Formats: sequence, structure tokens, C-alpha cells
Amino acid sequence: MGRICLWGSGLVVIAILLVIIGLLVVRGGGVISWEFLTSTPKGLYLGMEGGIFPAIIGTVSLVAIATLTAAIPALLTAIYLVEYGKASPLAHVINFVIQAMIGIPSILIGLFGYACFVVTLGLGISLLSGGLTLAIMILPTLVVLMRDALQAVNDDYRLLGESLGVSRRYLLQKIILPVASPHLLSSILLAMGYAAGATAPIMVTAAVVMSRGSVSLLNPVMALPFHLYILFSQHISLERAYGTAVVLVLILLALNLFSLYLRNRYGKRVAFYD
Amino acid sequence: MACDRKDIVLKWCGKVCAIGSVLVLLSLYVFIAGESLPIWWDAGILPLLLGKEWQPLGESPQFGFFTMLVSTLWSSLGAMLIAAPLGICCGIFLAEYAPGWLSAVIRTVLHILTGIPSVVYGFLGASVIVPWYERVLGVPSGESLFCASLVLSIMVVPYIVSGTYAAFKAIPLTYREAGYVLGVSKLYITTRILTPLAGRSMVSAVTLAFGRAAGETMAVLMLAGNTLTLPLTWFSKGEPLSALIALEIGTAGIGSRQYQALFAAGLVLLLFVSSINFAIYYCNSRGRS
Amino acid sequence: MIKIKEFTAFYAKKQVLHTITANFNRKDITALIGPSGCGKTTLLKSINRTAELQQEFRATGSILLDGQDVYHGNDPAAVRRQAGMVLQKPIALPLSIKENILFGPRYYGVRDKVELDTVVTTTLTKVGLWNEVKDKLNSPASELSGGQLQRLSIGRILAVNPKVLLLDEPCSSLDIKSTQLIEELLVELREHVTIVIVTHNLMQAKRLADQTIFMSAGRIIEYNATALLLEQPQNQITQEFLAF
Repeated sequence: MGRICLWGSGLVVIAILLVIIGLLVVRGGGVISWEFLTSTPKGLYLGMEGGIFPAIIGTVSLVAIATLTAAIPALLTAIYLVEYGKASPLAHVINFVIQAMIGIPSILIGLFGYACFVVTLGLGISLLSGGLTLAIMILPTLVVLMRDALQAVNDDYRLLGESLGVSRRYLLQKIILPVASPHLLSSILLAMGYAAGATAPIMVTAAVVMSRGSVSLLNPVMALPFHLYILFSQHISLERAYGTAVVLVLILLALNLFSLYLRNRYGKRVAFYD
Repeated sequence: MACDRKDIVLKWCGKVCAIGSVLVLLSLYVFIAGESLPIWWDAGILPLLLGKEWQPLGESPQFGFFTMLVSTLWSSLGAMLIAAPLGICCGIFLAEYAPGWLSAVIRTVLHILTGIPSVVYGFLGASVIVPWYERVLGVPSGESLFCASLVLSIMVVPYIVSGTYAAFKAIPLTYREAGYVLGVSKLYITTRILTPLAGRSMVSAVTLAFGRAAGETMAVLMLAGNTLTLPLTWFSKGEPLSALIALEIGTAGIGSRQYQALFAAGLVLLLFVSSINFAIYYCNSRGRS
Repeated sequence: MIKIKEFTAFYAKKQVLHTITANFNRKDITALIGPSGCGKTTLLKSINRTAELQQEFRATGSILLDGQDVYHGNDPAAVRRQAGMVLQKPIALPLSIKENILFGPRYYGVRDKVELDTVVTTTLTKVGLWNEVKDKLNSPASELSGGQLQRLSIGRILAVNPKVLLLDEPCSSLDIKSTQLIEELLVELREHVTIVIVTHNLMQAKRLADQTIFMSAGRIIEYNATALLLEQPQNQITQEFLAF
């Protein structure tokens, strides 16, 4: 009896993924075409026909802003935690806080983004509001991943640097950062994937059903996850919703796989996801 | 450490960013608490928490999120009911029973599952599970907290498996050997010896998953039915806190009562999830020392 | 060159060195011997201030390096430049052989290409690696053998012109031939730098050291010219240790 439960659970998990992939491919594969990827939504109810190009661009822009905003501060924070402040009381506080932030539901980050960027700073529903909100969402994850990347660098190098009397900055520049860079890049890709799939935060700060103007920082944007939500919940086009889901999942899969590849190729074998 | 100027600059930049990150988090709490303060003050804590009516746009607006709280609990606890056994079994299976190649395959599968965004889960659940549910049970509308729980459980199962797997892998081989030399079956060893040892970590993993499920927005938005009546059973429709906020914040007038009430709901959710995380953190650090 | 005076050290509550007093003279090789855990590595690390990198290190007393107090009022990095340390395990920086040598000099501001090339040539010649690597200066240092790497490590330190060379069991992971090469190197180097070497190998101490210090449980038990200490140990503890 116990055996059945155990083996069964493994089978269930595999089955779940197969079902998901199957559904996406079968129901969504048909709609994917060059036209779908490069044209704008059309039709009586926008999205019934046409493509999802603006949503793709919107997602790319949001992710770009989020990554550009969060990456450097995250790296500097990680550098401080590993190289300079290790074991200091400030580091303990920061580690604790960062850990706490990771569990915060994304809708609340969206709420904060709404209150802070859209309303208080007056940016309105815009690419900038959404991008900054996403940046806040991915910041703690990035810090943890980058911190781990730096810690994975052989400590012997630090010992060597100390005994030669060179500064940490020099060691970082010449040795630690180059060695850690594939792992750091992999962290960034993972965070990008996380930002690309997030719906709740951008729903309230950036996304609209159809964007009129060109892509600019203060205009609202379309985004893939939100577009998927609208296509489905407004009963506009089930087929195109599946297509959007396929595109979104493929983008995320590509980011995750590349990230995994970088880590495995250049570092230790990757354990379970962290 | 040598103190050349560039080094000092780097160190201070790092420190500033680190402190900045902490400030961002604190400001999140402060903002949400602050925006909701007026209504906490005026309407009172208990009426908000326990009020069953939510009518922001009525003649005399009512703001009570008891219904939403109950919905949140139904959906996330329900998800645990499904995910915990499945996840723990799978974790134990991967750690103790599965051959190496199968274990690697399943772990990869789980890794891929965590990479799928919540909106896709919600979408698939709503376009597949709900119609199926409607067909099988003959109900006109399949959206329910049960369906939400079902999808939520799939979303959090990987995390339970991961925690359980790590917990079992961390148990030294000697415990298993001690069982073998007594001639008992593997199942006996696993259930009687190893599970108690891994107990704390497993509870921690499940609790963490519970927190995640409670905070999830998109999946419940598309599956729970979004009605404002008190859900009396698992199979009722409901509107968890996260869905409430997502649906109404865009249309709430800035600074209005409704706006403040939504922030109040956000605060409740925030405190709920945070206290779960702190509890786990506290238990883990206690366990370590 | 190095004068240690009543130096006492603690790691948290545990006392690891008890009022050590010793002198290491210029152009001398001094060996530190003793059973495991006697504090010889700690003493070594105290000289170049890497002991304090481990948590909760406290010390009293003084260590003078060429007349300057190593601890009070001095920048640890400057001390470490003057007293370079070679570790037990040979480590290659993930750079080319040439860049490994130049790692220190570049930090200290040497820019001129001619000067950099000179440093590489001189240093590699000094450690006896020049002929072996002159054709592959730009290849990764990780390709070198253990013995070569250890010589490279010594070279890395010599490139910043230290006054003292501290070695912590540098040959313990090397084969006999490499050990021999390193020992010959150290004998040549003593003209230029004061050398202190921690070793488990009594024969090595005999071969290399002018004076030997025997330590046990954080104290100096006996301290004499090597030949005298090894052949006619005065102290009973020393005698017991050497009897092995």
C-alpha cells in the first residue's frame, strides 16, 4: 500500500507536467505563426484576431526596466554581504529582511507599487511604474541568488588575496567577479523569468488591454501574462489565449534552461531549485 | 584589508544598497499600513475583520473582509490538504525509493513546473478543470474554491517535495543501516525512523507552501468564482483577499474609503503571510541551536 | 628582523599562544616544529596578521617587523605585503602564469610594460621556473603541477618584494623531487628574505633551518640553533617529541 502511494506520487507529478505540455501544444500550437508573433491584436473584440506583438514588446520592456533597475543594487548588496560585511550585525539584519521579502505575495508588491509609483509619484499606469514595481519584486530573489554565486567562489582566492595584501575591490575585479560571472548571469536570467511571468503587480501598475501610443516610459503597456488573462476572462479568444500561454511559457523555459546551463557548465552541479 | 580609495567606495556603495533594500521592505509595510490607517481608525479593527458585508459602492458603504478571509483559508488550507500528502510522498519517493535516473527526471519535471507562471496555471485550470468539473458534477458553473485549491496545490507541490527531499537526504545513512540490520522492511524504516527525524523540516516546507498558496493571486482570480457571499463549503464560490485587491484597486477612487479598505485587506494578508514566515524562521533557528 | 615579545593570543575564550618571545634574524631560516595544535601556524599567522581573519582573535604583546610594530597603528595590508605567506596547498589564481606573478605588482601600481616583463622574468628565474614555463607564460596557471604551483606561489609573493617569507608546511602535499627543488630555492632565497617555515618534517628542518623553535601547547619549549636542538635537546618534552 505504501509502495503504491510512493510510486504513484512520482507518476502523478510526471503526469501533471505531461498534461500541461500536452494541453499547451495541442490547443495552442496551432495558433502560433509568424503573423501571430508580429502583428497587433485585431478584430471586433480586440484580440479575437491578429497577434500579440505589442504584448511581447511590453513584456520585454517591463523586464528590461526591472532588471536594469534591480541588478546593480542587488549585486552591490550581495558584494557587501559576502565580501565586506560578513558576520556583521548589519549583514544579519539584511539577510533576515531579504528572506522575509521573498515570501511577500506579488499582489502586495503591486499594491505598494500602485500607491508609491502610480499615485504618490504621479507616474500613472505606465511602463515605468510597472518596471519599478517588478524591480522591487525581483530584488530580494536577485540578492539571494547573487550572494550564493559569490559565496560559491573558492575561498582560497580570498585567502591568497589577503596574504598578498591586496584590497577586496582588486580581488573582486580581477578574480572573484570573473569567476562568478556565469553564475551571476544565471541569477539575472532567473530573475528575468520571474519578472516576465508576474501578472498581479503589473495588472495594477502598468498593463492595459490595448495600448494606443508607442512604447514609452510614461505610457501604459500591454504584457503577455495580462493579455492572456484578458483573452480568457473576457472570453475573447480561447485559441489565442492558448497561443499566448505557449509563447509565455516558451520564453520562460528558454530563460530557465539557459540559466541552468550556465550554472552547470561553469559551476558545481545544480541541486534542487533554491 | 588594504584600504585603497576604490575599495572604500565599493564598500560604501554596497552598504548603501544593502541598507536601501531594507528600507524598501520597511517602506512597503509602512505604506500599506499607512494608506489603510484611516479606515482602521474609523471603522475599527474587529468590524473590518469580522464584517461579512463588502459593499464599497452602496448607499452606505460596508467594508468587512471576513468573507474574503474565509475564502483565503478555504483555498489555501484546501490546497494543503491535496498538496501535502502528494508532496511528502513524492519527496520521500525521490529520496529513498526512486532509482537515480528517475529521481533526476522527476526533479527536473518539478523544476520546470516551478517555472510556469501562475497566470498560466490559472488559465489552464479555468479552461480545463472547470468545464470538466461542470460536466462531471452537472453544475452550471464550475468555479469554486475547490478548483482553486486543486490548481494551487499543483503550484506549491514542488516546494513541498523539495523540502521533504532535502530533509530526508540530510539524514545520515547510519539511521537506515540501523534499521536494516534489524531486518525490517524499507517502508517500516522510512515511516518509523526517518519520517520523525525529518518531521520538523517537512512541517516547515508545508507551512511555507501554505503561505505561498495564501498569497497567490492569479490562479484564484480565475478559479474561485469571485462572489462576495460567505463560502460555507469547500465547493462554494469565494473571493480570497488577494483576488479582492487585484479586482478592485484599479477602480477604487484614490484616497477613498474603498481604497483604504483595500489597503487594509492588503495589510491583513501581509501580516498573515509574514507571521507564517517568521514562525518558520523562528522554529528553524530554535531547532538549530 | 622579527622580534616577538610576550605575545599572547586567544581565539574567543581559548588561549592559543602563551607569552611567546623570540627573535628571527635577517638572512636566517627559522623552523617552527611541534605536535599538531601547538600553535605554530597561529604564530606564523600572527606575524602577517592573517590570524585575525578568523573570528574572535585577540592578542597582546608585540611583534616588531624591521622595527615597526605589526599590530598597533599599522595597516594589516601593508604588513602582509612585507611578510608574505605561502600556504600548504598550492593555489593557482584563475589567470595565466604571467598574470599570477603580476597580480601583486599590478595592484601596487606598476604599469610600465617593460617593468612588468622584467618582474615576470626575474621572479620566475628566482624560483627556478623560468626555463620550464618561458614558452607558456600566457597559458593558465592551473595547468602547472603541484610542485611548480608552489614555486609559482612563492614567486607571486616575491614579486612584491617582501622582507619576510612565511611558509606553512609548503611541501606537505608535494612529491620528493618537488620538495627538493623548493628546499634548494629557499636556501638561495635566504640571502634576500628572512624565512620562517612551519614544518612537520624534522629532516627538512635540519636541512634548511639555521635555528629551530620547538613549540607545544602554545608555548615555546626550546629554541636553539638547529643542530644543537635536534641533537642535544635540553628539555624533556623536546626529547620525547624527537624520540619519535
